[in-house]
Amino acid sequence: MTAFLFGPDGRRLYGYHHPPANHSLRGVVVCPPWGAEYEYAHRSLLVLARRLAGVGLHVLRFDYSATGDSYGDSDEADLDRWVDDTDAAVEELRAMSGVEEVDLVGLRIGGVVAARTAPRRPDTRRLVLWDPIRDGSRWVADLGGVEAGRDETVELGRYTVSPAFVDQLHALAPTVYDRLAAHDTLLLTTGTRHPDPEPRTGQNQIEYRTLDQPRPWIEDQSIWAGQVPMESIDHIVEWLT
Amino acid sequence: MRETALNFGPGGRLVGVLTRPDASPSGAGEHPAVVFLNAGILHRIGPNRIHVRMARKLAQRGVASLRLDFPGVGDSRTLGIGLSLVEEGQESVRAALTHLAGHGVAERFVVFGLCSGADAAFRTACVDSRVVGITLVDPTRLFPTRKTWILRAIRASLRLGPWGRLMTGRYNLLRRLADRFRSVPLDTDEGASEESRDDAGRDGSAGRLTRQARDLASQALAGLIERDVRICHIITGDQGELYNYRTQLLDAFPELDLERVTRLELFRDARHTFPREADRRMLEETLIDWVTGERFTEPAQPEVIT
Repeated sequence: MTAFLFGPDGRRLYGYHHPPANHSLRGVVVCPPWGAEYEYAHRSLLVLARRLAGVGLHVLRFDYSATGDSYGDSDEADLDRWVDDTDAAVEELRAMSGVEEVDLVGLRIGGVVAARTAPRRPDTRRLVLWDPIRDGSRWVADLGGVEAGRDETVELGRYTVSPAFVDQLHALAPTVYDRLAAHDTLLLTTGTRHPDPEPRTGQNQIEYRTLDQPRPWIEDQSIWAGQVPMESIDHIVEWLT
Repeated sequence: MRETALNFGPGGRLVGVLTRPDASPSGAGEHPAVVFLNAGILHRIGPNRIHVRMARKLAQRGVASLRLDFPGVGDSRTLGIGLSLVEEGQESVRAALTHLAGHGVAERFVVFGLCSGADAAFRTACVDSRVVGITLVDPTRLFPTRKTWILRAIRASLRLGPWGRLMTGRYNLLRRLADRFRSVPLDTDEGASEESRDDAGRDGSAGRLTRQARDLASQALAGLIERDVRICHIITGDQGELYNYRTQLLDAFPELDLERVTRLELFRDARHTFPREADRRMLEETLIDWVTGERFTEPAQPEVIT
């Protein structure tokens, strides 16, 4: 298990590689949530990655640009660039581990990023969308809405971001999942079934699953972080393997 | 500014991100390096990524820093050497300082902690002479004084809500007074049985610290003062119930010459996790100003106090 930075100088991304015990040609890249949701869900994604490595997959967790330990200030967050970052993360995992097939797991906004990255990747067959954002405007409202910031920035969900990023979020709709026809997809919903429209995923194989589990991206105030939903994690591991 | 992901410590089980200024080849400079500790169990970036922002701004001012994950928190694995959680935390900081010193990053260190991270920073400073400064943001031990309770009572009495409830007969005055009386700190441990105290030395009723806990803190602080360890003590408005005036720490320990080594800040409008940009900037400016302006002691021998 190794923490490292990858990508070109000045645009380095933080990554963490979980290798399996034995040789494997399959890998998984984990696309994280954003903002406080990422802070709270970090442990759940770590546990997921360890479990996946434990069953024989190379796993790469990473931070998008302008998030976590990767380069860039939060007001440089850019959904389009995160798709490029995920593409780069898949390439990095292939280069470092020799895997030939890389599946994607995306939690919350990571589901959007994974769904946008997958059509670019002929080496991606399986996709896990874990409580993906389906209605960007609703999500922005759930984060407390947008407040004016300094120097042409705005405040969203305890982070300083650009108005352009907020526009990208507002534009998110279930149609983002339209182009997944070539991928087997698991749509995992935590808690009760989300009231938003189901993603339309064309003619591909899609498994819908709702589990009564804690939402890892929501703060449990007794621990100041998200709970780890083991049943959800186990289901993802089982589905991918 | 250059960043490096580090895997270090026993078996490379510890993870941190080192941020160094561009200026010098090794990153070592005139200032001590800053080590950021986890706030609770949030990973090393800190709430709202404040550690990342502070690290990069410090680097612009020539200060290297490390964002460290404690064993079992963030990306670090537990050390698996049979130590308690607290001991593993201390061991990880010790390993971090040794790693940074061994790679020429710095010989002196400031340890920064928010909430439980502040407690860990304090404990580290007590046992490692390479630590020449600590920044404690909302530590869990706040040591209220009589003035704290008087100010709290005055401020409560100025709020209109309770008066309105009193006038309309919806305020249980006797019960409130009894509660208030119970929460006034005593000079002895009377009323705080061993069973009702948690491991922080608080009694169970009012979050106050026992005399024994205060004396232990006083003893530890005296040791830091003797070593000339500098302290930047920052309290947010969220702690107003137990810390409500800037110089409270000095009043809590009148027997100590704390003023000489301590910078005190009270950010009344800030919240504990700094969700507002204006408060994050205030925290950053305070830390940078203190680290680059404070007269820290000269490099100490890399000796561990036992």
